[in-house]
Order: sequence, then C-alpha cells, then structure tokens
Amino acid sequence: MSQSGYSLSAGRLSWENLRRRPFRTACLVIVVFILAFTLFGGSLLAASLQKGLQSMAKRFGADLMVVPAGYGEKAEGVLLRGEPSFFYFDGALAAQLAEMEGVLQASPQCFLTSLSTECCDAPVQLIAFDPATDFVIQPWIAEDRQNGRLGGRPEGGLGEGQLVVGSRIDIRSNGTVQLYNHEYPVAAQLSETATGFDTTIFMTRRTMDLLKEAAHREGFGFIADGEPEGSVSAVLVKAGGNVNPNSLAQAIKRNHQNVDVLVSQGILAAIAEALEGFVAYINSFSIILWIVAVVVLMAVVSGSLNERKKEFAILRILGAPRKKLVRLVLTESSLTGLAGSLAGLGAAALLIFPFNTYLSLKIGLPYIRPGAGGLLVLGLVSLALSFAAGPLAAISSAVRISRAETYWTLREGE
Amino acid sequence: MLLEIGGLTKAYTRNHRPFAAVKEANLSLEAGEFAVITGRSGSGKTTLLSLAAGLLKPSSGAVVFQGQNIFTLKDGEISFLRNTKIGYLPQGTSLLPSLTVLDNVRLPFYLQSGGAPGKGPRRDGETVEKALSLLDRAGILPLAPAYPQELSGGEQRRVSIARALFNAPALLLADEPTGDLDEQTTAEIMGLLRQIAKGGAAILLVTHEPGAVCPGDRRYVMNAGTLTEEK
Amino acid sequence: MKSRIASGLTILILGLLISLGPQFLFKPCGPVLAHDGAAASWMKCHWSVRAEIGVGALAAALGIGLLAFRSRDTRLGLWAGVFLSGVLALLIPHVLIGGCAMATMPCQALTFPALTLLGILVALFSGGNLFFHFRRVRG
Repeated sequence: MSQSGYSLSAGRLSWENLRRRPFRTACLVIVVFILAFTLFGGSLLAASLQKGLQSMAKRFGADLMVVPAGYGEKAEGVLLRGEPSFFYFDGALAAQLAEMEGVLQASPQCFLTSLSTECCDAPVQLIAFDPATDFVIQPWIAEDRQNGRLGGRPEGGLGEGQLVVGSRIDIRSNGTVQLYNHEYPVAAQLSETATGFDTTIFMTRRTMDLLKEAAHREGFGFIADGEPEGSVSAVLVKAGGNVNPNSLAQAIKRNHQNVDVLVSQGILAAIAEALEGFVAYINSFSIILWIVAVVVLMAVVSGSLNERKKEFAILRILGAPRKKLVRLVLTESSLTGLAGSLAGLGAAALLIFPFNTYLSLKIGLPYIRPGAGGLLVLGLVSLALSFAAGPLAAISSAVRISRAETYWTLREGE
Repeated sequence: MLLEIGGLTKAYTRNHRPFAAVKEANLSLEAGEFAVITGRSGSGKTTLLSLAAGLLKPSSGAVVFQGQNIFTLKDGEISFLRNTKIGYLPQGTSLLPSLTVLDNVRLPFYLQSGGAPGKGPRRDGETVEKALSLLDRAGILPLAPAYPQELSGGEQRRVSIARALFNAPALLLADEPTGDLDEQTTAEIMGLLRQIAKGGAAILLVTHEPGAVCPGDRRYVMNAGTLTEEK
Repeated sequence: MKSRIASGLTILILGLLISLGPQFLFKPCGPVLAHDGAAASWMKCHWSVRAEIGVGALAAALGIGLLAFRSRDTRLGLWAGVFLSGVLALLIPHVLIGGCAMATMPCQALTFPALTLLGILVALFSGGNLFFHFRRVRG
C-alpha cells in the first residue's frame, strides 16, 4: 500500500476544511471578491479622473479663449470633447488683443473639420496655429520631444505640409493621415490629454492654406471660402503675471462686441468640482463597503467556528497549543481572502481595461489611466486592503475559540 | 509513580447554587497499570478525566504527572505533554471529518512543530508508515484511505485509539470507549486496550459498565463527585 | 454530469454573444452615408463584426458538441477548437481586420472591448478545461 507522505501543515488542514464546505467557502470568497473588485475598480477610476484633470490643466496653456459671439459652447465642445466645429471672425482681433493692457500673449487659431470618409472614419477637428505667436501647441511638442515621446522628430519646427496629431488619431502605416484625398505626413503624435485635443489634428496656417488649395482642386468647397481673407476662429490669450483672467475677460468683452470669452480657470474649476464629488463618493463607498465586508465576514467566520467547536476541542486534546488553533483559523481566512482578492482584482482589470474609452466617454470627465507604476501601486493597495479583511474579521473569533476551555467546547459540540 | 491525583476538587455554580462535580479525589497510577472508574452517568467521571488531562482547571488540588504538577505548566508546555505523553480518548466520535483515516492518525505529529523529540517519526513519509502500522495493529489497515463518516462506530473508535497511540503515550485516558458499542465490539476494543497496557502504558478507563473490570485491575467507584477505591 | 451541461452551455452562450452581440447589443459604427442618405460605404469595423458572426457561430456549435459528447478524447478535441475560436475572436478586431481609426468611435470604445472580454473569457475557460482534460487523459 503506497501512500504519498504529504505534510499536514496548517495550509493543508485549512485547504481540506475549505474543500469540505464549498458553500461557506464560496460565500467567504465572494465577499472578498466584491470588496477587491470595488476597491480596485473605484480607486482606478478616481486615479484616472485625477490624472485626467491634471493633464487637462497642463494642456490648456491659454488663460482665455476668445471666439465669435454665440460660439462659446461650441468652442468648449472642441476643447473638452473634440466635437468638430468651425466658426470665423475678423483676424485683426488677434493683433488688437496683443496690444491690450494685461495681455502677455495672443495667438490666432483657425478651425476646420475633416471629411468623415477618410482619415479617422469620422469628422475630426483640424486646428491651424500661427507659428510666430503660438504659445500652446509648440511648447507642448517640445515638451513631448524632451520626454522622449516623439522619437526625435520633428527636429526643428513643424515643416510645411506636416501634421501633428492627437493621441487617439490613428496614423496610417506609412506615417501619414489622409485629408481631402491627399496624404499628409505626420511629424508627431502628442501625449494623451483627456481633452478634445486627443482627437484633433494640428498644423500651421501655411499648411492649412495648402490643404484648402489641394481640396479646391479636388472639387471640395469650404464655408471658410466665403469669409474675408485673414479670418480666424479663435484667439488664445495669456494674461500677464498679476492679471486676474476673469477681469481681463470682462475687459475684452467691454472693448469688443461680438465675442465670447472662455476662461479656462472657470472650465477647470467646474470640472474639478464635479470630480471632487465623484471621488468623494467613490471613497466613502469604498470605506463603507470595507466595513460591511469585515462585519459580514466576522459573522460568517464566527458562526462557522461555533459549529466547529468540537473540531477545535479535538485538536486541543491531541496537543495543539492555543497558538496553533489561531494559526489554523487565520490560515483559512487568508486562503479565502487571497483567492477572493486575486479573482476580484483580475475581474476588475478584465472589465475596466478594455472598456477604458467607453467609460471615459460615459463619465464625461477627463480620464487618463495611470501608467504601469501607478497601476501596480493601486493594485497592491487594493489587494492588501481586501485580503486583510479576511484575517482581520477572523482574529477575534480565533482568539475566542482558542481561549475556550476544551472540556466545555467538547461537551457543547456533542 | 506515573500519575498522582491529590485532593482534586472542581466546583461550579449550578442553578445559582454551588455544586461540586469532583470532591477531594485521590488516585495514583503506576506505569503498566490498568485502572477502571465505574459510576452512574453524571457522577463526575468525565470531569475527573478532563482534569487529569489538563483540559480543565480544578478549583483546588493537584494532578502530578511524572513528578510535575501539570497545572503549574504554561499552555504550550501542557499541550506538548498531551501531544507526546498523555493520550485522551473522548466520549463519542472524535475524528476530524475533513481528513482521511490515515491523516487523522498521523495528525498529532503536525500539531507540535517538529513532532515529539527523541522518538517517533521525523519526516512526512515516516508518519505515514507509523500510522499504517498503528492501523494494522488496530485491525483496520484497509480503511486507511476512507473518511470517518464511512466508518462504523467500532471502526471509528479503533481509529481514535490508533491516533491516541501515535506518539506512544505513557498514560492513556479513555472516557467510555465502549459506551455505544455492541457486546462483541466492546470485547474487541477492551482487548486492544489491555494489549496496550501490557506494552507498558498506564490506562485510566471510565465506564458505566461494571462488567469491564478484570481481576488485577485497580478499581474505583465514583458517586456524586466522590471517588473511592475498591479493594 | 452537471459540469458537462454547465460548461457546454457557457460556451454556447459566449459563442452566441460573440456572434450576435455586435448585431444587437453593442453595435459598431454605422455606415458612412452619402448625401442622399444611402449607405455609401462601410468601415473596417463592419467587416470585423461580420467575421465575428462566423467565429462566434463556430464556438457556439462546438459548445453544442460539448453538450452532446461524453467521450474524453472527443471533448479534448472540442475544447481545443473552442480555445482556437476564442483566440480568433480576439485576433479579428485587433490584428486581422481591425476597426475605425479613432479610439472614441463606437466600435473601438464599446464593440471591440466587449468582443475582447468575450474572447478572453472563452480562451481562459477553454484553456483551463484543456489543461484539466489533458492532465486527466494522460494521467
């Protein structure tokens, strides 16, 4: 008769016990599973939103955005959600604003939209900037290049006919994007911003003129064709050091009729407020769930240990010290805790990672997933917190059962 | 003297009145001796055995095992004693339902880190060999891979005995080991216990059946908490 | 044997979801419309989803096979087929055909993630069963 001589360690004894009570084990695992799923999912969501807001604040660059009157909301759609849109007013405004007191820099931008059949399978926003005065797009490109994101190109400024595209624009395998039946080389793809810039294509004024000319030859017409020469869509304004952007916005509106002024601070503050409420909701929900989980686990463990008093009495009779009983109970709860928290984390990852974009669209707030390091920290913290709930809920019962006088537990168990 | 019980008293409060389950009990046992305590149920026999095994703290008195009062020991020390030197057969079934017969028998090895010093198995494989030889001695070798709930009452009792003997105890305390068994099985179990006593271990047996006593045994009677030796 | 029915049904349902889900539940991008409102052209995601109809139907058929057959060797083969169809369900939108060129399009945001999830579930479940069966058949 050959028998394998495996060890009856605490782990093995616990495992046999868990296996014999599949329903109770499943309950314990499911409670921890839900906990881990929620903790990881919730913290990932909160971290992604915070990162999204940070990057949005960094990328806004300009303090004010001056657009034609009545187009404030459309401009906000371009900025926040990349909803393609175009509108025009007199380009002389840029120069006038630059002269104004309290204005440090002013730079005009021209908007256009692409056709839906090419490039991105949907119309996207095209934005042309003025290389001479631009203080938003070019520093961004430079920063990305410095962070090694752009692989060394473009070397100098943006060349004629070249494009810079947002992070969610797909580039063709030959490194181009097609616009109005012509292929244009992509000089750089920008980092993720969680703003409308992710689905925007940037170019210089000169390139946009070339693009329009090429499109005219293909027989396309633009609304902008009817606009006077030198029309622009928006003027980005950077306020001077001590100037309050809100007062500057009011001053601009006083001096110029027919303009709307977007204050980026105001937009950001509104988003930050919505985000704060959302994150507070996630956090308080997580805390409450954690407490509920510990209480539920406590009840289940305590109930099951009462039912198993006789078993522990037998172990005492066979010479198990109190410490050993505590260890057995804690090993059991650790095993269920580990299984539940790993499964919960895995399920959350499986659901959240593929649906990243969908979630960010549904939430309607800037959303950027943390990098590998951030994900690792979130995962480990969620794992530790959900795993700890098991042993933590079991410890008081474990100590109680180990302190009981064996004579009585044996008699009660009969 | 292997075991010396002196002036052992256990008092509780029952129905708001003091009640002594065991009163001033005295008993002594040499190695290889077979002692039988008879008495009606509720006379305090199980309480006395639990006190002797150190599973219950007395109100007063001492249990001296191999020259040492076990109630002065710490939990770890007294657990070690129960694991290696004092076997205890509780009333009724006492097998762990989640383990096979074989694993039930070799379980004591794993309850103290490193097993009993100086004797017995050292490795997992040796615990299996030892357990199988004990099961063989108890006449139930083929049941090794079975689970306790698949066994009859007599078979379960034999497994409990094999397990109590795993670390070759000097003293075996048995609480009604034949209480729920038929006549023939009772005779077989008693034969097994007497065989163990011949091997040098002292046995203290509690029963409510007067027929269990043989010539040459030390005989005690327990009546309402008072223990008296019959000559 | 309950687990035979449960595992066969699971694959059948997952297969049907891969096949029909994009048609009804998580629809991809619609056609590009010409000026007169007729569908002028279809984007890549449309063809990805078309291919998934076949892959999902294959998985569902293998799931019916798992419901019907008891022989270990047959089931081993069926599980291998299910595993490959799960991998194929993953490869079609991501490698073999692809979808629309912008991450915020419906197919990239919803349809493909759903197919990814279903494909991973099919591959994991069948991979686990394959491993388990392989060990039992050999051992």
